[in-house]
Amino acid sequence: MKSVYQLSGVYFRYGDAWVLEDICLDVMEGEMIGIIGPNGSGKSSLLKLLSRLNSPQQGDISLRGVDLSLMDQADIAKTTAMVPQESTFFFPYTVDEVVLMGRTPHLRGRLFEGRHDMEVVREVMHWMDIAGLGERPVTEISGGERQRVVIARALAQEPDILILDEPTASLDIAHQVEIYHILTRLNEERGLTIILSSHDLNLAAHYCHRMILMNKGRIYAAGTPSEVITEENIREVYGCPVLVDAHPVSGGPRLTLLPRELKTMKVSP
Amino acid sequence: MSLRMTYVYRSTSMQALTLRRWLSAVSLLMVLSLITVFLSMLFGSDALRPREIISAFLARVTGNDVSEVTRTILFQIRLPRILLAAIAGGSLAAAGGMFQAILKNPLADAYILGISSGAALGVVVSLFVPVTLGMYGFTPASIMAFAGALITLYIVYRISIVGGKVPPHTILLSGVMINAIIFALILFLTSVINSSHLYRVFFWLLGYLSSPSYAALAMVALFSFLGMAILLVHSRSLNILTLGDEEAETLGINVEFVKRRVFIAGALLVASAVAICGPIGFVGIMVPHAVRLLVGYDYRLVLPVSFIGGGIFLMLADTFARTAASPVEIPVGIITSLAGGPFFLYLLRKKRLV
Repeated sequence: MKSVYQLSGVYFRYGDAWVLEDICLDVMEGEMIGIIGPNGSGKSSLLKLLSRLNSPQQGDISLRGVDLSLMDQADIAKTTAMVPQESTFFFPYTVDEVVLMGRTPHLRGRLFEGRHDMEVVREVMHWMDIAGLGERPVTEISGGERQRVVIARALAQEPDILILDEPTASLDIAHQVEIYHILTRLNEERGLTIILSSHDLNLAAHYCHRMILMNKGRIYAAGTPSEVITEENIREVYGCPVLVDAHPVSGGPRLTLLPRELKTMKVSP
Repeated sequence: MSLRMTYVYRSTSMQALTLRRWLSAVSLLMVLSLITVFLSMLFGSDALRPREIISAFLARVTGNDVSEVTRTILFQIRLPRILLAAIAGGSLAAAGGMFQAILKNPLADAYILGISSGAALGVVVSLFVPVTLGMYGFTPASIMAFAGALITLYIVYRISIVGGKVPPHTILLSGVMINAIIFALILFLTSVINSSHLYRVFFWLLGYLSSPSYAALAMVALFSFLGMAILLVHSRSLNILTLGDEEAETLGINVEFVKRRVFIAGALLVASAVAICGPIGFVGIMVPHAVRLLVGYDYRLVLPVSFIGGGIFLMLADTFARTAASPVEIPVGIITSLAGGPFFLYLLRKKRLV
């Protein structure tokens, strides 16, 4: 398998303190990779480096073998699409208009979208099951629908890589599962490489092929979900006691929180 | 995308802006604008009949003679002033719409950023400058106002740069601060000059239209169309900038480049209008808001429609200003504020703007 992203010895800081230190990471073509870690561990910063919203002070990032810092903004946008943690809309654009904005890197200065752009947009809207929302203002639809609209906009960029920063953060459980289901289909049926960050360790562990556990700006552990989601790792990084056993249906790792009051109690077999 | 498109959907129609829709909307408004020009020519301290206007225009072409008085009223007084209203109103409205988008603030317009006070300072300073700067039909005051507006916006922009970026809230705050400082300077300078000048400064600050020379009109039109052309080129990017700088960046937009360019465009539009007309209030806030309610939020359409609509609005306001209390003229800035303020409040309550 070829790698799409290669990071070697990457250091990044906003001010004086390093936010990311010595990050070495290969993201493989077609994989679905989950980045986990506590608040402030550097998940979002790492994702921002990948879409060049920030640039590292030290180290190299290459995208398909090309130095990311040398790439044209529009070329990056045609390869990598980013779904931000939260999208705010200053104007109530219609769903159609928002998804059409995804065509920006392909327009090359043209002011109006052409027929091909319309077809791409129609297709991704069908895929995301939002074709019926076309004329609704994006500010008046539900959170789950809005997340699908933003993912559709990202897909309209026709990217090979999709980066999502906590895509399920503000959604209810049904919508969380739905988003992961969609991402899995995009990954399997369209071959998209997917990189996401999450606080929901169980969902991420269930759907991702590989997980990266971040701690204080460094990669603490990386590997398959069952390699990364262990009681020791989670306790060490998150500082809270957990129980990890096998998921009764999938057999993958299942994490159960042990609130402080329960610590003294015996876990019944 | 690696997967072939499995479905082709043509059944659902998409409400996307096409060149055809754009052209039909813009040309319809152009016609309305021409009608307004014509109607505005009818009114004034001396009413003209439609036939007189048409024959005067025909006379221009055929070389026939019309009365000297009609010709002077029409071509020396009324027409240049109406055209100035169309261009200045359009410039202020389009620039206001642009500032609201890139600063993501519904109340943003050029005045919040200190442009008008900068221009006003230029006018006050011109009263102290003994040499005459007049050229191309511009008075020294308007040249100084133009310079003052540009310099102020440049200072506000420079101050707001944080780490190579220009965050909207810093630019708004520094605009407000620069505004306050300049106003203190204006008050200081006007308190030491004599009272006849004071009256001029006061009158200028209200915003008024006069009949410019065609040379001055041509210069204003040149700056205005140049600014408008830059804005239109970046109009689609402006839509995307309202999503936030980072999202725009990931969609392939060179955010700081676009911001710089549209800022220059806005400065040209507003400075040229303010230099001749003074700070005419509310056009920059009210017109783009009304336009967005009418045509939606796509700036490819919002900007040209605001330009033409702002022109129509100011032509009508000025016609009223010329005729309502004739022979006394009301400064048009008073009319726009009196009409604009309540209208804006109505929109705010009824339509829950933004």
